[in-house]
Amino acid sequence: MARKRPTAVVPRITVQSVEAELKKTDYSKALSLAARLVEAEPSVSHLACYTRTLTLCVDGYLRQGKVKSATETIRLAELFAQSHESQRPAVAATLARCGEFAKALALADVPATRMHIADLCMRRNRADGAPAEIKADFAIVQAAFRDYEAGRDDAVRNALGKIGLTSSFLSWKLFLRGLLAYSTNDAARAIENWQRMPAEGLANLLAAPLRCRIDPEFRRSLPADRATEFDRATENVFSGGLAGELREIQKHTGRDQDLTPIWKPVASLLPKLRAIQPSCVPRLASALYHIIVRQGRPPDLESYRSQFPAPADDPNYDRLRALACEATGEDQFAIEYWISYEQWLATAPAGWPPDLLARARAIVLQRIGRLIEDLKIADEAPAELRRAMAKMLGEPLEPSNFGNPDDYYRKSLELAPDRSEAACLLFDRLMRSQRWAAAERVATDFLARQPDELDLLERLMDALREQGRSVERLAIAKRASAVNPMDSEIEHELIQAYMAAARGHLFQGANDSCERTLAEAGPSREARYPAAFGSLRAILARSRKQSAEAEMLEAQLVGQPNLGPAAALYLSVMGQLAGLKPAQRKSADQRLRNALANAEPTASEAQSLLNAIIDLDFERVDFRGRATLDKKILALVERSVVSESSETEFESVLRTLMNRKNYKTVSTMAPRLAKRFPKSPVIPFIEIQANVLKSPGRRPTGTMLGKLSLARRLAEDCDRPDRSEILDAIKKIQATLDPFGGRFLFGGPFRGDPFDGDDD
Amino acid sequence: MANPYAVLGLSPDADDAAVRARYLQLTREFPPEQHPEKSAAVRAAYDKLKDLDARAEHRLFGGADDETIDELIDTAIRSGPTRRITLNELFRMAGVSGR
Repeated sequence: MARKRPTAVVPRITVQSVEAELKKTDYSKALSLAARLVEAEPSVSHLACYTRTLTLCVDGYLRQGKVKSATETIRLAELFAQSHESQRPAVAATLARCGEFAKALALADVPATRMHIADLCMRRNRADGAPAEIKADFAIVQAAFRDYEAGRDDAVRNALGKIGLTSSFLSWKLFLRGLLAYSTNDAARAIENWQRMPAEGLANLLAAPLRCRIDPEFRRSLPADRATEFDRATENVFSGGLAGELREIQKHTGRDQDLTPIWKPVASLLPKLRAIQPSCVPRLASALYHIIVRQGRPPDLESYRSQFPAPADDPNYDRLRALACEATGEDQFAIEYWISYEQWLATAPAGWPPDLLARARAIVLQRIGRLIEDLKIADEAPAELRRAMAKMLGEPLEPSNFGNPDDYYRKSLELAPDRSEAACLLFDRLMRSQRWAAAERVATDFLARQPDELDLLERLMDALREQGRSVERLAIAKRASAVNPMDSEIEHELIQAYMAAARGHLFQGANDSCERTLAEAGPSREARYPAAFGSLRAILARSRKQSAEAEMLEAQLVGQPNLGPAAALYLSVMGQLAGLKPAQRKSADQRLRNALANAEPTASEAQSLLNAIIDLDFERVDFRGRATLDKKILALVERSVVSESSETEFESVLRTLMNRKNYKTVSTMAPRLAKRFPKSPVIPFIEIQANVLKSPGRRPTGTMLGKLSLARRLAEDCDRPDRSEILDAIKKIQATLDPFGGRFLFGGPFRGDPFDGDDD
Repeated sequence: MANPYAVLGLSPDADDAAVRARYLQLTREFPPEQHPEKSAAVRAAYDKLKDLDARAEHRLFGGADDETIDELIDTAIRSGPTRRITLNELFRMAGVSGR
């Protein structure tokens, strides 16, 4: 038996399918579908759909200039309306809008038809063919508009008084009343009138751009692009066409865009701007000056020079060139231009008050010093990096030769002795090259002039710490604290300074001074660092041969939860450096041995021990057995992985180890911790960094990259408070892999704190 | 951000005392509770000119924020022609052809 052929599925015609064709502007298909819809079922909605389709097709054909098709469609509409009375007003409106006034009125002489006739008269600016009463009102409204344009508001009001409530021009009366209110900034009255206009009328359409500016609710009801269109249109009218031309220029001023296309519109705009808004010419020049700084090239400067006079503050364009070179990273050229600019400033140009001029020169000189310093850092970069940079730039990197940054900083300070920035930069440079005395002189000279300058006080504190001058350091820390007692960082520095001073006295055998310093620090400060301060007190008691008190203090300290090992470390080291006899140190040393032999220390104990050794290193406290002790501490930290500590505690330990560059210990601990805490994104992330930094320059293995992806996935899935910070750090590392083709150069992105946002 | 000298109504050679006095005067005239935008603009302008350092920095590097094309467009619109908009312009603004 032959198989029955499947019948073709004919899509059902719906109102939506007609709308779809209209949207595609396929008018003949839309008309055919709508006609079939009515033929199939002449329901109210189908009839309305056909009428609407006829109307939209007429409008569409006319827009496309297809007059013949429009005429045929109008004819169709007329025929349709003859047989469907309910559709007559709508078809009459279409006929009226097409200028078939007589036919429209014959079909449906209703107010809406007459309103459309009035609208077309206004649109055409003539009323021939319209009924006599429409012609009369048309003349009144036209005259009222002329009066409005001439500012004769009373005449407008008189004229509008003649337009009655039944007039076909009622919507135009409301429109004009709204315009009068708008021009006197009476937004509420304008909105009130415009809200009453029929939505389908032409007057409503004309009021829309202005209404959009003052009626937020109306603005919200519009599609966003329509509102923007209205804004642009009104801006252009209100600015006499300037806004449009300025926007044309603005189009090309986005980041990294080529500026070439803006110069033609600038040339065409300038004569109009000079005529309409002359005060805007120098402002445009200033805006373009800075746009060139940001994104310009040398030809743009030439175009600028051909259209604007040189700026009074930069007659040779040295500043512009310097800033532009800085923006593109051409620091060598930037320095040259800044030097020229400073030389021009040194000629005392007119328009600069002397104090402002000296300050500006100081700022420029400091900037030159800074740029030279950066270049010098590049000069001192490793050979491999210099070769890579030269290859990238396509030219050899010659060492810079602009003199010594110190000289620029010093000149800057001479011109502006109260500016701390140059003093700080000079101080930092001198410190980096270990010229302590010179650095100290810079700071003390500056502080003699500006005693409360915290930047210098803090720097001096650091320098004194580096040199182990604890008493002077404490004096400076007290000064800084007096300037800003609420600053938590300064308070921390002050506590450290007290501790260092007390320690210094203790090591020199000045027990009374040590006691006084501890008393001055006070119990609240001691309570913040119990292990460090407590150990000082215990050793002080030992030095004074107060064995019982020392024993009690030591026992108390070592017995403190989590702080025990750290306290034992401090006691042993302080005892050694305070010159205690072996017998006096015996118990402290034994306590440290016990602490380090702990088979299962907690993560907190490991952390406190690490913090203690970091503190001693930071304070430059050196002692016998330092290297061996470090190994034992790391072994203890490794053993902590089996303890019942939390994920956060272990993450903190890993981060501390990374900061100390204990990559090997991290590599050993991390895989075991990752098994215990499989949802932590931090642990695998730190493990990868440790592995890379263990052997910088080595290509990362597939396993490592896999772990990086795992870390990212875990970070994306977690809801920890530091989620975005972790994710950013991982993404940064992942992104760094691409530019170098998967090769890590110098371990660059992995240096420093794994979560530090700073690239340094 | 408009030119801070223009916002405060000062000449470019104004010193610390003149800047401070003008700032205090404008702060009294435009309290933040009643004029939040104006007082914020006054504060921002004051920050740019409040001492010699700030004024020198502004004169050397600050112009980029002072004049933008957006500000120029705004000025052109605000200080544009004072005449009434014509009916023909209303047709053009609404994108309606015919006149």
